[in-house]
Amino acid sequence: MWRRRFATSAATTTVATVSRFKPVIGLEIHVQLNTRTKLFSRCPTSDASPNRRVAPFDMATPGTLPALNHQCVHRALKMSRLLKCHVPKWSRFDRKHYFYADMPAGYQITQNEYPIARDGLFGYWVFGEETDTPYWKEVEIVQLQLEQDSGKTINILDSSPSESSESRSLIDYNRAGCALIEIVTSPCFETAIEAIRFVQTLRLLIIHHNLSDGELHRGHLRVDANVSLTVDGKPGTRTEIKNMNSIRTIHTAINFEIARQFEILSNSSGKVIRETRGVDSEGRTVPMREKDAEDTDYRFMVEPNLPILKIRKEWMEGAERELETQGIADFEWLRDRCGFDPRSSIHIAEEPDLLAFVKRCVRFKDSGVTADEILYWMRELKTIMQRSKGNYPPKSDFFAKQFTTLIHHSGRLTRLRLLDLLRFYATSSESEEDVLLEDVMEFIDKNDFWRINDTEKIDKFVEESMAKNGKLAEKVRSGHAKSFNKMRNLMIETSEKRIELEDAEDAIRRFLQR
Amino acid sequence: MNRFFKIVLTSTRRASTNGSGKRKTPFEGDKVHIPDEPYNSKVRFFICFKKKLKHGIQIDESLLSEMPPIDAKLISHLERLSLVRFDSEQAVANLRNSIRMAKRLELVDVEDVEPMHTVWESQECPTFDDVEEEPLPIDKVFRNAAVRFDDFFVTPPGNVPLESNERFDLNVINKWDTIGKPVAPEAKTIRLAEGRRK
Repeated sequence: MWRRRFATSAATTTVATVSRFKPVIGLEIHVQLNTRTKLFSRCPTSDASPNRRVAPFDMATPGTLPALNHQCVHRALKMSRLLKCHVPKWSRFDRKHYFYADMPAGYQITQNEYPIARDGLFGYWVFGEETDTPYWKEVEIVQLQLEQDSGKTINILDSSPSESSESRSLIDYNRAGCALIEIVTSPCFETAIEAIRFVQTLRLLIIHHNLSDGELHRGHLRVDANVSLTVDGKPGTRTEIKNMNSIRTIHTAINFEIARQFEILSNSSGKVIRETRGVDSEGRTVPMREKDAEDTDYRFMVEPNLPILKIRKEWMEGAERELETQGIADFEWLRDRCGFDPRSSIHIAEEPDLLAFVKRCVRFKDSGVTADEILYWMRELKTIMQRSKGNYPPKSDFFAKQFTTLIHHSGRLTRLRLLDLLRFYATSSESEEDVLLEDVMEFIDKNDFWRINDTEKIDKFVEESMAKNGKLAEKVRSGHAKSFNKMRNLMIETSEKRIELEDAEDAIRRFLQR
Repeated sequence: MNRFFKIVLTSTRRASTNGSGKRKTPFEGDKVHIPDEPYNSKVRFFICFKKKLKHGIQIDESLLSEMPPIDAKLISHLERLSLVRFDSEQAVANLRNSIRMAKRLELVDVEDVEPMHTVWESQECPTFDDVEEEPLPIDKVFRNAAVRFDDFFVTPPGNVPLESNERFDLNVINKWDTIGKPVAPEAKTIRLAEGRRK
């Protein structure tokens, strides 16, 4: 029910946007760094049961002082280089005050006025549904700041109406004080697709350079989006969608919010309220319980316990050196070196199994095989594996080699024969019999599976088949379409799939015209 | 004036002599900056900010910006910021007085002076290697916890909306210092309750 309603409102948005409204979206991305210890304490960050990863500083024990983790600075510098940011000679930490039980000091140490890096630029490909042509987009990065994470809260709500309500919160400080990098972009996205492709690309880059584990579902990447609609070019009121931790959620929530604001604004008296919104399980944005109609006053002040952080030249050089040795990320390699289109390179790089398969294929790739051919036959292979209930993609090196060899020779084999061979090799190598299998070239040669191109030979097959199946031949002659196809299939079958479908059809037509 | 120097001199002299009951400093011979006896801070004001003050040691209140009226909105804003609840008109009136006192700082000439944020201004922030240390054992983590549930701290739910702020007699708060009473009248709610009882 909701889906239908949502779909219609989204559709109207796109129509009306052209005339009056334009969405403006800005993102704040919190990246949890995968350092061994926290940002300001040497408490380990490994997984553990609740409150087992807490140092005195993390629970704001009076008298404890912050001790900055060098690795966090190092990773922030790497990130600044990746996002082509300007890194000032020094930066400073600030306190941002608010009361939450999972923030035991009553403030978060962050970087507000003098962040570690600012004014960056990040380019990436945007692609939508299958039919869209990808386009290049550059995003302005406003700033990049190091900050502490909060602990985790479990809310236990007691719905009983009695006054002695049992509502309470359970707090786990394991995450409190872990290192985050917050990336703030300018409001330069116009669609939800642009926003999610940015997050996807950034995520792959972050994982490649070992800045974060980048697992969205585990909260390593949390995204806030500021959404507003400009009306006839005039900026509108924005709402902030908090804490989205899956690509799909980001997409649906932003679209939902655009549709919601559009519905409000298209009513002449409607007004969007500036507020913070959460996301429910369906991707709808809902007002958060907290009331912050008036601007929250965070009472920013300079962190008095941390002197100015001067960025040394050798730190910067170290970060650059490491980025260089790490080389380009897999999706960039696929896109720029192997010729995959932007959509497939992101798609493949996001799936470790697919990536491993493609890497194997590229290793065995004969010079003649293009990325598009690999993609085409991978799709066919996927269907084959789904039908035969095998695992896709097959994991063995042997199969990858046969796969690329087959693609390389695809011009010399009929499509049906090639599919047959793929099925045979994929299912057999899956069952670990590949040691017994011979190389596909030998196999084809031995059985003479090569495609028949000689028209005379093909004509002979037609004559034979027509002669053998008298009744069917009659029907074909009378122009019965189904029989025509049946005859064609028969021919292909008797030729052991060595005649291409089109060739067979042409030959029958030729025969009939004679 | 004379009194101030006397205090400073006596305190320095006392610190340098060694004996029981005397002020001690970590290193012998260090100056003691905190005087033993309190002195009128207005004297200090006069010394530091002579230029700004018109009539000697008296602070000219007319130079200060006007006190903002304390209204229900401001009270609730302050309560939200501090997470502290005012319990009576007296509490708010005291705060108002403190604000008025603090306003004197407006007279300090800070033009072209960078605010000081830390005593480590000339230092660089030290960084530490990313090497794990043993976290606190679980019993120490919970040593100060009033309520514990399994291995979690327990707190009241957050984001509780504040109650109505029309609790105080704003007139009393804003006029208290001109009434001249040392203690502000009791809160409206209590008075009302008592009135009903009577």
